[in-house]
Amino acid sequence: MLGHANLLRVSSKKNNTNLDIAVVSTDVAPPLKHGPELVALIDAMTNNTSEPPTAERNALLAAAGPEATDRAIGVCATFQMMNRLLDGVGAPVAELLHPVAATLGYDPATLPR
Amino acid sequence: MLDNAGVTPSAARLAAFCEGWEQLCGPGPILTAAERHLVILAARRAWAGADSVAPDATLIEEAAHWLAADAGGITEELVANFEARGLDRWRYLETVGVVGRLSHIDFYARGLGASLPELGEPSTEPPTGNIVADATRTDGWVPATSELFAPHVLDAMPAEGDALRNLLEPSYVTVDEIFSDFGVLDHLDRDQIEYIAARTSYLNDCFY
Repeated sequence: MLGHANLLRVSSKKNNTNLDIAVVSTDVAPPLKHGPELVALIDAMTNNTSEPPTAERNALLAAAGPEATDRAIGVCATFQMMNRLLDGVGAPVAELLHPVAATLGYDPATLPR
Repeated sequence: MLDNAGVTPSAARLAAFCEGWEQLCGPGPILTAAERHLVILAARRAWAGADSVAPDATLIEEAAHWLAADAGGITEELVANFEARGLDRWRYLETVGVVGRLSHIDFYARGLGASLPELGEPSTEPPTGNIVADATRTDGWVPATSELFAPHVLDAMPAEGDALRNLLEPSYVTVDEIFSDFGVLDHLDRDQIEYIAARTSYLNDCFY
């Protein structure tokens, strides 16, 4: 989470979108193009592991088209993989990301690794 | 595979999906194909809602259950407990790799609205034995060839590391592009792609 929240911050700065990365850890849709559809699809894919996210996928499909929807699903699937790999092998959080943790509302001293 | 998807996958992602599934189902560096099938079935049972492992589950099935259901809750003590009960760090690492890559396969298929690929009869070919024998624990809990860096966490088992990157790169970005400015991919910009990555990781309690 912290590494990609940091990449989001860097990207947002480059793109002059000035996104508050704290949006990652809230239930508010991000102020991005198709933000409401993206967060609904990601949350459905992650939180319901037994049913397809049909309504949420169709909503993004209608808003952003098939190529963007396929890529969004692919990115979410990639991080389902990477999250399990990294937590499974005990990969530690880099200390330089502790300020990002604080921005997202976590006490860096209490991070699991 | 993926022929009944609600959204047509890109050719590159479809090819990676098919290759990744075939590789998962065969024998690994240490586990037999039959053992890898047990890992796949245990992970799928967890995603289908099983609260706990079956009383007669093997250690790789037990590890697979927790990696699928609550990887963020796995601790060094739990991995040491597995080891004390007979699941050595190499077999544990391969189990992590199988569940991780299966996550990509199954969440992608489910996300597209396609059927999950089905297991056939396991191959009786023996494990490949392809490991970096002098890999050691670095800053994590498993044998590694260097300090742990996301796209290379399985590299103590070279074919498993390659299989990871073969799934990652067509769906996210290439390893070389992770820290560069790649612009827009499939009509999604970097802000949108990194938001998806960070949000998914937040929901899974993965702080890395």
